Amino acid sequence: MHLISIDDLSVSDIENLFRLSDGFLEIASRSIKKVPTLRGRTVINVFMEPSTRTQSSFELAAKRLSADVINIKESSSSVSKGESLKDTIMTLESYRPDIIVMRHPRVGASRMATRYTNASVVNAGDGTGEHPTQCLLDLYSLRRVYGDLTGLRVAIVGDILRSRVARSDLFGFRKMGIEVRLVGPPTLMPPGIEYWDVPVYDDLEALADVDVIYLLRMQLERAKGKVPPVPSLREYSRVWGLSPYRVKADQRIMHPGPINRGVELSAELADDERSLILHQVESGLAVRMAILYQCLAGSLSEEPAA
Amino acid sequence: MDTSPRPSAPRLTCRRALPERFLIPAVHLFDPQHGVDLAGDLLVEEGVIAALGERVALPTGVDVLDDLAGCSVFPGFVDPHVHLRTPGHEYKEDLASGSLAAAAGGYVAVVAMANTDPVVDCGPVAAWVLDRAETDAVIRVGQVGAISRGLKGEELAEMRELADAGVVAFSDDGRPVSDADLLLHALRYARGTGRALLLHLENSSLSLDGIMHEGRWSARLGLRGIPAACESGPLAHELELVRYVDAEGERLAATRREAEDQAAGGPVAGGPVREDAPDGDPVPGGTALGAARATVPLVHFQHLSAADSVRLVRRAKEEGLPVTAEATPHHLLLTDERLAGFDQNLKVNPPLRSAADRDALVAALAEGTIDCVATDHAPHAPQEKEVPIEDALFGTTGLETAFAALYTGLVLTGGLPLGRLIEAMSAGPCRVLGLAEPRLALGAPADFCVVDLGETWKVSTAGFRGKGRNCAFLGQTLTGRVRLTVVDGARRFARARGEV
Repeated sequence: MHLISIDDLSVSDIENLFRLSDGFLEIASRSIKKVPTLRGRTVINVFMEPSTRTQSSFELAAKRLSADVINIKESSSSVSKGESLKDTIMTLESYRPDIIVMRHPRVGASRMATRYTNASVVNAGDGTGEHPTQCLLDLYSLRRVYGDLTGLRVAIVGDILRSRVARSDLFGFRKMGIEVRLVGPPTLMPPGIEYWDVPVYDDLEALADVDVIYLLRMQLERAKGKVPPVPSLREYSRVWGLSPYRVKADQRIMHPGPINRGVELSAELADDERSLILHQVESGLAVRMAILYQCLAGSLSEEPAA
Repeated sequence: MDTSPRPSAPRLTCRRALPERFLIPAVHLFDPQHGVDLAGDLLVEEGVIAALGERVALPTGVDVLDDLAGCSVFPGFVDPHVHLRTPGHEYKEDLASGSLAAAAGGYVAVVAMANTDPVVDCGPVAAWVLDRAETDAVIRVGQVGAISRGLKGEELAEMRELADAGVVAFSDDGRPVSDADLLLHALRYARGTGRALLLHLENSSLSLDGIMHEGRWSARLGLRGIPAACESGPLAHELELVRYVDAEGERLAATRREAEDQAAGGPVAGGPVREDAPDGDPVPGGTALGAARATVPLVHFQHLSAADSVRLVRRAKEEGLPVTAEATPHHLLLTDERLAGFDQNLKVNPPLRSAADRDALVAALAEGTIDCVATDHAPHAPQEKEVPIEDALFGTTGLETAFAALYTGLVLTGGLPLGRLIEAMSAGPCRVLGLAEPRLALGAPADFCVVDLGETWKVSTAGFRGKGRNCAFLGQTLTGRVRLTVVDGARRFARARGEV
């Protein structure tokens, strides 16, 4: 099984991952946080873009499942010597890995990798394409907080245009019965997104009746074309930045990280008790253990010890 | 819950004046847009029109302006396109001189372009101009914000901040927005502001070094031409972007309506209310000029000069695209042939074009394809004009001559109904900019002008209130003289009969 797009999973697939995650979450509370589930299996993390959360989360997930893990990073790999993605994957394939977890700056790179390996490929973010494991951990966090996801209202705010997280979250959240709306400068909405029947708003007034505000970082490093979509970060944060007084007492804040304090949210809000940002990171580890397990479930003999 | 700051209403500012109490007896009150066409008196009290159309019994303590008897009273003129040269070029014009020139032309409000130094491309500069106008300007001054930072055409100006500072619209006037991606970004980004983009049409790679209309007379005179396609080309291209963005805006609005319907448990009986539905006629009694109306066009095309442009705008309007257009008095009245005298004051951008182009503009004004008159008042210092025509700066002044020139050239001799001219100089520009219209109505703010349609005068530099002497109509004999301009019930400009 590969996990390239959130569309690869059905509702029951996702619910099954939640069930597995519940077990793995419990393991994280033990004093010895390791189970032998993937002993003898090989996981290769290929990270061609900087990452703190996702890379550490996947590495730790694999280690807690007792898999053998190696990490390939762009800066310290042959990619910096001009090696193509195809050659990198074929080289790694020679080690007969079970799972390749891949982060890459180009859209569709993970799907391409599946053509050159027999391993399960897990997309850990492909450019401005998708980030399905982030969506799953977000859903899992929401389920832990709210229980039932049906009818929950989530506003995704900010740089939707260049966000792979927004692209996975929008479709994954709706699959699970969450009402999603997009809020932000019209120039940070992907042109054509309205064809996907999602309500799009220009202003933060649209946050008044949502349960969860999902903030995104301004991804300046993914700029395409010559014209910046907003005039300045100053104007962005003045009009669309969130501070505690713009958030109701019962609303929760989510963010995939890394956060830019003072831009999409104030420092105070980042540290506010309504923030689920660290809760998301915690969920991420359990969900990624579940994903690694599920990728190999067909070839494993038993359910994980939980 | 506090939410994001909503863009505030456009801000139009001028010097405050104590409301006056005065009566203008025996005038023709003519506000065709609002169905007013009657003879009688006009009484102004406490900033509003307190009585009109009847013989007003003379209250005590009222100034009676007997010398205006027999004149016409029109709703005050509004100019969507002037250059007040402030900040930075006050040697050409400043807020005091420019607003006085406007008052002398019967204007109650003008909108200044952003090509100043510094450029009006951020909130503090816009606020500075509008604050300054509160002490310096005799009639209302509105300000546009730049579309692009520094008018460089590369990245967006801080349009939300500009809107919050009270700019009326956005424009890079003086320069085109040549980069299609920038224009697309601006059209989308401006959606949240309720402001129109005012576009200066020019293919700069084609107009480079051009002096006058490319045609019969550029060939004869040996001056490099500026083809009509220099304007109609970008216009065609920009209309395609407008069509695209308008349709996109409709689809986006539909996503919100659908979500609201679902939240309300199915569509509301009678169908959803369109959020961009026109708000209908303003309430009788009127609102302050600065109060925003609900709708503005996506795009307003500035100073049309060519027949081909008129044809494109006409077709776009027939199609229902949210666009409007303006023309200047000089393009409506003068042609390229006049350049044979090498009068530098006739060097304007876009250039004066052929008689056929001029005729097309006049027809378009008459039928409404051109929504309003704009002067593009562009004062320059003498040393910038008194040089060979190839070296002279582009531009003519226009505020002090606009009504008389158009009345003389189009109404008296051209067959344009006076009512249409008044509409194009008052209600027309207000609709384009989303401002409440001046009106002659009981209880309405007293924003009007008094014109003697019988007085004939010769345009001379001696009579100019503005600093600019560069007027394309210098030396012409015109009929129709502005005698009084009233803003907020106070007399801002008065001229005796026969006074220069």
